[in-house]
Amino acid sequence: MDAPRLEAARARIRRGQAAAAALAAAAREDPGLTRAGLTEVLRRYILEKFLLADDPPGTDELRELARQSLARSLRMAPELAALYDTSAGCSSAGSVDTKLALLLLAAQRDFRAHPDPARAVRARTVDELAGLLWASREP
Amino acid sequence: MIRKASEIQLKVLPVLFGMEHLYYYEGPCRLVDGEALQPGFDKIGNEMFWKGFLDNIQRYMPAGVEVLEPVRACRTDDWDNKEAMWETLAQAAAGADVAFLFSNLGVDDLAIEFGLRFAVPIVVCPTSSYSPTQVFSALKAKRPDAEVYAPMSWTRVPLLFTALRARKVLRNTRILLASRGSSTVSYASPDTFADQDRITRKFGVLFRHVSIHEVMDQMSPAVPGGNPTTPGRRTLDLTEEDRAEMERLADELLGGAQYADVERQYLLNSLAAYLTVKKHMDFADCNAFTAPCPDACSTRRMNEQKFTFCLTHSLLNEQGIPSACEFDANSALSMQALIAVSGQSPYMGNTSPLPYENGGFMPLAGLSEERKAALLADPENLYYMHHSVPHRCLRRPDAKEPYALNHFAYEQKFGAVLRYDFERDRGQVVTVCRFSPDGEKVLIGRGEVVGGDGYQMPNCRTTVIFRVKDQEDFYRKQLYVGNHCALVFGDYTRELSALAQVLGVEALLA
Repeated sequence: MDAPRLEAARARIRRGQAAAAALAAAAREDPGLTRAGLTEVLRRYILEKFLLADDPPGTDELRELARQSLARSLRMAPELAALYDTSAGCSSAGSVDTKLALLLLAAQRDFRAHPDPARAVRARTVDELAGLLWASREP
Repeated sequence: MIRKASEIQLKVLPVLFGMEHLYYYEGPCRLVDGEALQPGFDKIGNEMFWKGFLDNIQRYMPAGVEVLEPVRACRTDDWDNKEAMWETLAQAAAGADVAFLFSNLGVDDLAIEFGLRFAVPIVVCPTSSYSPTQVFSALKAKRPDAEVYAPMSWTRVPLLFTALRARKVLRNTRILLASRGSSTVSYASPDTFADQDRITRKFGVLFRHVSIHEVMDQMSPAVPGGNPTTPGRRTLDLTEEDRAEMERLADELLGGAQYADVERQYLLNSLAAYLTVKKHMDFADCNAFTAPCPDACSTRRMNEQKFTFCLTHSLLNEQGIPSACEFDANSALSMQALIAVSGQSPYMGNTSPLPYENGGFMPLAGLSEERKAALLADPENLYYMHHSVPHRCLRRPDAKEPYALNHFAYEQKFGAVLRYDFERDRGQVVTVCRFSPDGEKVLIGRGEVVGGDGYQMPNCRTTVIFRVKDQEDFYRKQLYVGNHCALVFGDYTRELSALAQVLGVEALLA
């Protein structure tokens, strides 16, 4: 990949991460945030994290969102996929699983929530994950 | 209680081993990057691995498996290995037939220690990194008798668990033997299990015995002072409820038969035998049965009481309860093996090649001249199996096929027998099975039905004729196992071969 395109890709990733963090911070500070509101914020947060905000896919399925994010990032800059993802290494995890695990880690940190990991990995949709985050928010 | 094979479940315990890194650092034990290096990630990552593992278990477990509540066993990069964790694992393992381990880099030593500590067989998750080869080889080196399996992929998992469940079914088989003389071998089936203790050690199956004279005494209402064989004892004699059930069954059988060439009273006599045997099985907690033919026949009591045990075998078999004639516990166990791997209800019978030589077939018993003549059009590699214990559920365990009723004794016409027409099954694949008398080998044969015989005939004449791949090869292998083979529709040779492997029995494939 040529250097300008690589740098553009890096910048796009940084923008996505920053936008996601800002969304979570605003939600944390919002005293009027509702359960339904958290679902909407989380949806936008995930789209930013997954670099899907420019052209949001019509699905709320977490696994499908992760799959589309991977495909899109590989098209954008295959070399950079590891910059915001991680390689599976010897862990036997697939890329989609790893991406979802990283999302859960970031979401519980950014939204200051502590869902049971065993239940969190079984969340199927954005709304299910929002429910788990809502129920386990720090006071 | 009669605990049928279909009610026996293999209890599988998922054991979830996982490692958690407590700090951020990199080096030769960290094989990830980015946020995955942060403390807290492994807690989620492990759950993600385990979710995939548990989802695959749900997807690939065959019927008859009960998946127990998974047990988690985690350590940190302090390399902790606490007895409290093993106490939890010991409790969970105690209720399991098989432990299905999810291992990974950093916890393979725990998986190996699990195999050293507990006697429960182990299966290693096929997609858990390099664990299958590491755990298998290390455990075998440390404990050669450890039972450990490491399937190469998930698609191989169902076959392994089918075999492990079938082995449990055999281990839970309790065969009731109604004997006259010898309690092991009858005059008609000298190729059955001669050493029952050896078979118990090999397969876990237990043999329970009852005097056939006592059974025959009990096929009528209780008499004052007790039966001749057990004076003064209360026994399982025919009750009013039994008699009502006999009448109900007779109505059902006569009402549904395509033809019935047996008197109702003789049918009732055979049903009395069936209900008496069933009560004995229930009392002795047995789930398989056999009774002698010639040994019992020569007492003359069957002639006096006008019955045979053929219908008993048929009615038990169609319920998925193996029941073999001629005091052949070997055949009963072979049927149970087929039931366990297939879920089908088998047939059993005298099994012989039909050699075609000098323009005709050898004059063997059990096959009509008309049928032999019809087979001449394509006479190569034929085998046939005949007896008098067919039933209505041969094609499917949950649906009754057309049938007829006939008699066994040619002259007096007693001994109700069910008739099934194997002519309807041309082209169907069948699997044939029988253990060797010492339990060290098992014949696993495959054939294709080319026709039937004896649907309109009395006596031991219900015949299925099938073509095998190589008649001589089949026969040479059958020589090591004996006469009475069991048979089901469908190809279950892979499943039986897998069962043979987990039993430590040599499979004779034909």
